[in-house]
Amino acid sequence: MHHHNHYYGQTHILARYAGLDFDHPPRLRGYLQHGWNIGCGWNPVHEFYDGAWRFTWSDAPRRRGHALGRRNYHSIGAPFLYLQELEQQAEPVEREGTLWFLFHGWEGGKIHGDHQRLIDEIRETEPGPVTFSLYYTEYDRPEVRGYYEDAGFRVVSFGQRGFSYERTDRRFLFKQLDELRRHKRVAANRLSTAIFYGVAAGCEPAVYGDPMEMEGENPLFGGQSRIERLWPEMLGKSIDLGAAQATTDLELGKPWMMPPAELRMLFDWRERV
Amino acid sequence: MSDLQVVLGEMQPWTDSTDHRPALAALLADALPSERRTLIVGPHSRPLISAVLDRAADTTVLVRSVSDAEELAAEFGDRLQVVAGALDGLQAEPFQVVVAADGLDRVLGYDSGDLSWTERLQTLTALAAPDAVVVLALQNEFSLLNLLDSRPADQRHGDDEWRPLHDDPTRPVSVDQFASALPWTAQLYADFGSRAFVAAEVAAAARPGELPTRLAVDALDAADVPVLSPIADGVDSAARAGLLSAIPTGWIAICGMHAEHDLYAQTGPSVLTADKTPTGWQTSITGGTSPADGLLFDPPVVPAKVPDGTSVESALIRLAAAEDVPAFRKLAARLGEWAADSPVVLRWDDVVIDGESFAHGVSPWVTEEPTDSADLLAAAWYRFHDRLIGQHRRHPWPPWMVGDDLVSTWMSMSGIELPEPVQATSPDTPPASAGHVARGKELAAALAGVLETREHAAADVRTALADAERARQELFELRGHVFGLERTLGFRNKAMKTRENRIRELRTQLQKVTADHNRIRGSRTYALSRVVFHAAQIRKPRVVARKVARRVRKR
Repeated sequence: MHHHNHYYGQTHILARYAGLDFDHPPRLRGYLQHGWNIGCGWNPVHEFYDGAWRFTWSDAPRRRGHALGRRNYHSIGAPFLYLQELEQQAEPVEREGTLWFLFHGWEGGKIHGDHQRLIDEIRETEPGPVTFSLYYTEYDRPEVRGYYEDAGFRVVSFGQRGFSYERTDRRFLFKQLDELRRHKRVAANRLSTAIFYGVAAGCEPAVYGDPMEMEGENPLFGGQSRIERLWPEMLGKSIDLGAAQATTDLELGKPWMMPPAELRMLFDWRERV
Repeated sequence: MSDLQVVLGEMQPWTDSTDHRPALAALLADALPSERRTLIVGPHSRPLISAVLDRAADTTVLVRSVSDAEELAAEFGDRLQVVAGALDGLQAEPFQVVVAADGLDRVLGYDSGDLSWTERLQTLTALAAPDAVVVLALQNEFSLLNLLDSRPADQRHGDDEWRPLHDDPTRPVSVDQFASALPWTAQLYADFGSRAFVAAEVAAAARPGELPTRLAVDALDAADVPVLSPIADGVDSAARAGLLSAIPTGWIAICGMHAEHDLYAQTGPSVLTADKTPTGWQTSITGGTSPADGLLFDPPVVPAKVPDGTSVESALIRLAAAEDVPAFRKLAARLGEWAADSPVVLRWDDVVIDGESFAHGVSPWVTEEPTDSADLLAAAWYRFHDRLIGQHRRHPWPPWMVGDDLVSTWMSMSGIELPEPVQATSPDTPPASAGHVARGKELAAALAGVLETREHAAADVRTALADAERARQELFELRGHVFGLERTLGFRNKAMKTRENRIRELRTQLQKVTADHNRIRGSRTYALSRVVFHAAQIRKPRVVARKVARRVRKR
């Protein structure tokens, strides 16, 4: 339906889970949430076509969207969780170090902050080697990437989420999952999708450091302070794993996952002749 | 044929219609003492009169219609003393039993005085001995059916309202008012459409989804009254407020005796009785096995004990409204396991949540032939589907799933497999559960038929409006869908154009490279370079020189 549905190859993953073509997933009849947020699942100014159905990861965005006057929600669980089911590990690898995610900008907004101070804090905090994940918008900026390479971190990027069905790295989440499974800890300077993915993949989480600012950030949903009020258990350098896992299950919508056949029905992925 | 006595106030020509009310007959059979001098006041059905006659010693019936009186006299002969006339026209010694189970609205003629309900009660009281057993009915002007009646006041009542009866200010309109108005101590029953009678205190304690509430909904749903909105919603709201006893179609007062059971309900051709116990209901049901519309009425399958608790349907509706699909799925899975050996045609509105498990309610309907449990499960889900969607209840499933797909989905939640994956571009194959769904649909339709509920009647006004709104919404959403499709096509088209432009660019680059290549190959420099290249490859220059010289000589 909307090209955002293809971001990070999410529709591709769901299509594969549903037993359909991974490379050319069928059109999804509605909007698929493509990242965790503290609002209704989409950015505050996202436009929806009339009567659109919205497929959220979990129930909380549905409730918030309902309050915004929106209807036609169905929560399905994050595609990342489905990917975990599809890509089960034959044997777990020994985990080491921290996969650190810098709060990333996007094609329309760059981040600004004190990278050196963040590096110092990471060095003070992380006990093992650090792999630093940058979204390509930062990865392609030598002045940003250089900070972390010069600090001795291994710097990785999982590719592009794509735009208008172009340049979508369909294996974006595959690569992210693979890296997460190799690390003991996952950390970020903001509570974000990657932290929840990390916890889901078995990492110990940490959220600390300069949260940095992004151009054009819309504080409509309450911003960082609301995150601190709602999910204090997810913030800090040492977090209770059990509490984090419980919150992660809720935020990624684990209980809302459904069998492949049901997913095909829900997405209208069945041709009627 | 007995002698027909005619007293003041008789009507001719006139007739009062009566309906057989088996549940009321069972209630009277329990309540009336035997071998007493009895007066039946007002029109009553033949089976009801027979039930009274079976117990009474000497029975008189008073009806206002002469023709009705003649028919009764002809039918019952000497067993029944028939009087034609109005209540205030009858002069007789007080009776030991007075039965006015039709109430006091059809006991006066057009020549009678304008007696209020209270005055009619006083007249009736005068005909009862001081220690008489009196059975008196009263229509409830505050009944839910009245409140939801879509007809205006001037169209609700028929030819017998030559004087308005229902706006009589002396007429009781609540349990308390009725009890206070009676000169006797009474046991009151809430009368739901003459199909279910529930002891007033039991009705007041009933909550949504519990047995009395469920039976009240079924009974009122069978009433032939055009309504503004679904009856079930109102009944459930009243039950939540503890007001189920306040909204029946009427009440029956049993004065001077006590009926045996807390609840009497018509079910199929029989009557179910039930008594409240600390943990639920002790039930019994009369009648034998009999076929009806493809199903079998089989009283022995009704459990003697039905646990207290709400229905599965109530729980499912709440979960669907909360859009809590995970909890809905869990409940459906548990139902699938539990229903594997169901003896009856399943209906979630008659399955009770019993702790961690479930229990059958009081439905006695089974299939004539042994039926696959998956078919019974499908029947339950289909009935639930019709009630959830038909009543416009809130739920989280998109419109394209509504129908067989949604039933199949719920069945898969209950453990019945869904179809194998099929490419969206390939023709669809029938779901593995399609056969079960189709059979379930048939069973659900057969069940609705024998239950005689409103599901077969015209939609209420609210539902009709909601249906129209749903159609408008569907159109609105389909337009949005078309817009979305066009936009997707636009995105894809854009992507195609991007690729097309890239191909054009590559072609242009190829042409340029080819032209450059050809130009280079045609130049003297290239030719010289080739000669030099070949000359460089000569390993034996003398041999080559001799061959070249030989060719030159030949020319």
